[in-house]
Amino acid sequence: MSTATRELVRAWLREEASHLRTPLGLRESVAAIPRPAAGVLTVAPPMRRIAVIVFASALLLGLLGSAAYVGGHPGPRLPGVSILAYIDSGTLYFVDSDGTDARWIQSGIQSNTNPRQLAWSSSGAYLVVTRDHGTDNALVVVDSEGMSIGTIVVRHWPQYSWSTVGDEIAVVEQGSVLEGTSAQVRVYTPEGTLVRRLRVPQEVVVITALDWSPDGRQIVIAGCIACDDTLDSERALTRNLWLLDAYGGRPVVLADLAAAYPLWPVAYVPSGDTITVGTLSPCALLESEGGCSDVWSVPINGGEPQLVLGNVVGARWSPQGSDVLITRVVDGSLVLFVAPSDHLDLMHRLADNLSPVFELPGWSPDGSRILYSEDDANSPSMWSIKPDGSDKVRLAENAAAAAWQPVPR
Amino acid sequence: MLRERTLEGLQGDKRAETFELLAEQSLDSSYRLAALILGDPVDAQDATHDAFLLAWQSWSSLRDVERFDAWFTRILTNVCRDRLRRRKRRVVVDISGALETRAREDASAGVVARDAIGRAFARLSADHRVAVVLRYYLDLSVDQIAERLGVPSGTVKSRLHHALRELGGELAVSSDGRDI
Repeated sequence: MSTATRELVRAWLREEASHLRTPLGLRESVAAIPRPAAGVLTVAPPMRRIAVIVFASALLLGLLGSAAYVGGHPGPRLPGVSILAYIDSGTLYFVDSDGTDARWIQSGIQSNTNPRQLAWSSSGAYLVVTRDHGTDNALVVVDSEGMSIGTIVVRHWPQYSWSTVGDEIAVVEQGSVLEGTSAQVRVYTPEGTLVRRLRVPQEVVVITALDWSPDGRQIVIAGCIACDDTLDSERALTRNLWLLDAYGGRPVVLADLAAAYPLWPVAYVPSGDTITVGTLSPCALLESEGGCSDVWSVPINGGEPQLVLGNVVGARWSPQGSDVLITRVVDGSLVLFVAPSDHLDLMHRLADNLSPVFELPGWSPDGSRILYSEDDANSPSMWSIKPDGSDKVRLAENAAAAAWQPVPR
Repeated sequence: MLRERTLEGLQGDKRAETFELLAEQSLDSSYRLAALILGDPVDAQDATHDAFLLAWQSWSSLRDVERFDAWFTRILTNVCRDRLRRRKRRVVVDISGALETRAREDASAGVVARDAIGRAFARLSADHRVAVVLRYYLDLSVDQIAERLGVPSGTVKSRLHHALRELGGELAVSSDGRDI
């Protein structure tokens, strides 16, 4: 590239910059930003933008000399508004949880390839999504402004879980029967720096799901011994739950569910004394009344697993543990129910015609709202609704998966 | 003075005061940076405000006050890129004929070249604009740009190469793609 072009570009930029003067209104509105208490959000209302245009136009017309800026300062935004991250056609978007201010973050995101497509860290400061990375996968960590801050390359079928007590993420590197390698669990910082490797039983080849305990000390893994790495084997393989020490201690076997198909998902209930795990049966979604999964409850003290829900698509406990969202197939379509966790038979029908491409419905961090997707004329729309079925708010269209930021910005 | 109260300014009661001070110090340069990237002073005003708002909301993620410039430039350029990408394509009016006339009248090749750069710059993609402004206005190195944008240095080099090729093409200047 010729030096002349670079010098012309440099000179042009400096000449353009020399004509720019910071508007008085901008100085005032920026000075007003830190006045609300931290955590209380502000948003630039249309009035400010209108005032800016009026101000700029008036300057151009020579109507204002030293006139003062008359636009309003940013007004208060509803407290408690956090970010919903969602994926639409391989693109990551953020939208405020009240359905306003949708914004593009980045494209090239994998969707419908991983059971857990995106997740916020427990602090709400970081979000992880999955991208292609050559023939491998990359877990990309973005911050709450949507800026990429770290990348963790994973060979195939990435599984991960954020720490519940800090901004660390446990990531699975799957093993291979053909290569004679075991699965590994590594803990990284959000920037992608390896912090430590956890001890995983050598016989575990594939880890189909994992979840960090509420106290941050253990990680439960659903693993498979001698599985092939395509995970589609119909052989009767041993599938177990293990508890890993999150700081590198010795792992222990929790339960052997002897399921022929992968154990997924696995999650601690909020009290931390029980783990729920789904077992899949070979049936086609929407063709089997109820669903193809059974949900088991496994005490971490080593008690016998209990079947808590049979023939469902999925279940998710509320953050407080008091209620459970249950997705079932009814007359060939997906229906969302909510039930008290101590009376799962008292299911209340919440929404019909859920989108089958959407990740299972989820709870807001405070348990006050439910996030789900409805198939509306073949165009899935993402909604939030209160557990009693009231206050339904449309958030976005065509969302394939979503994650609700744990804490308000 | 600012350095002495780094921790207090980030975590303590003084954080609003520290933010105001840093925002005031960097406001003019930030506005100019946004205006150059966006090519629109009104849009730049909103972008600069939004970037400072985001900075305040994520104040706890700033770990060192001395890194404020780099940290905030990253936020600001991200806001600008977002706005450029959302902006509807503008109608480009062909004014080459007028430029030729003006060139004859002005007899100043420099003026014509600057006008041509301005038009070509307006056609650059968001990523290319940001890279060019950070490199040739802020005089940041390729590595510094990569750090602020959160992309590999090779990506920055590629963006600069393609951006300058487009700008050079407008000026009918041959490009060999080296030494950026």
